[in-house]
Amino acid sequence: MHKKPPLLTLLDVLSAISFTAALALILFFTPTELTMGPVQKVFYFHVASAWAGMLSFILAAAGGIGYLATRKTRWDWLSLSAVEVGLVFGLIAILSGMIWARPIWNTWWVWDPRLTTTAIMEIIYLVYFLLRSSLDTPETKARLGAVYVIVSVITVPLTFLSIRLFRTIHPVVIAGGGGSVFKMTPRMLLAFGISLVVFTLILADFVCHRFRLARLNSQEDEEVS
Amino acid sequence: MPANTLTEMIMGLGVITGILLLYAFSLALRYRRTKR
Repeated sequence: MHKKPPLLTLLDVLSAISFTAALALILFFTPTELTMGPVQKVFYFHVASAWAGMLSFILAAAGGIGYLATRKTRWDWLSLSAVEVGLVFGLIAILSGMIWARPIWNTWWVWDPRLTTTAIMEIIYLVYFLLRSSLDTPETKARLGAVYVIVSVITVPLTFLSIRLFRTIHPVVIAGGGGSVFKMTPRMLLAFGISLVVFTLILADFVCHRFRLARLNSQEDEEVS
Repeated sequence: MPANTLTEMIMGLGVITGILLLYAFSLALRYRRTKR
């Protein structure tokens, strides 16, 4: 049985403290946006969770490549963990975006290119678990899962670029796209940058914990068989 | 004057924090169960 590494405990504490600090920063340090009002503050964590979700799916693809190249199970555990964590962050991005959209667009959902591609990305990665559960042996799950995550990663750039490739009402945070560009004050930019770092930390923490769980599950399966 | 969207802000940040906590809790719970 593997003991919890002290570095992971440190990452737990660091994630919890930095998340609380970022929340306080957003609530008390950032200015209230002139048109949208307080709901604009959801934006910092909304974008950060979308970022963490996409990063996680890229990590899953890296795990897939690692597995196909080496056939070592730990790469499969990495893919599995990254997909699950990516789905959680994707769900957060979708739900927080819907809550923001309700007063701003006067609707919870609109079939805008960004929203549509995000929903498709989320569904594609949900199917990954269906695919795995329909297969029998761990080797088949790992091999086909690896191919699936490598192919599915195409949805990440497609989702990211959707507001640049198509006409959209979704705001553009990083300038250069087709939608309305959201200009930030220095305080907003600082909170935004910090939120990105905090969510990357949380992503690393979650993936490490999920990886430990996958390893433990695998040991349990080996003992049973 | 900014729109009065305080309720939506609380709801949005609450949902984000809630899901993160729920997932962290589920990871801890699943690990403990499997370890047993």
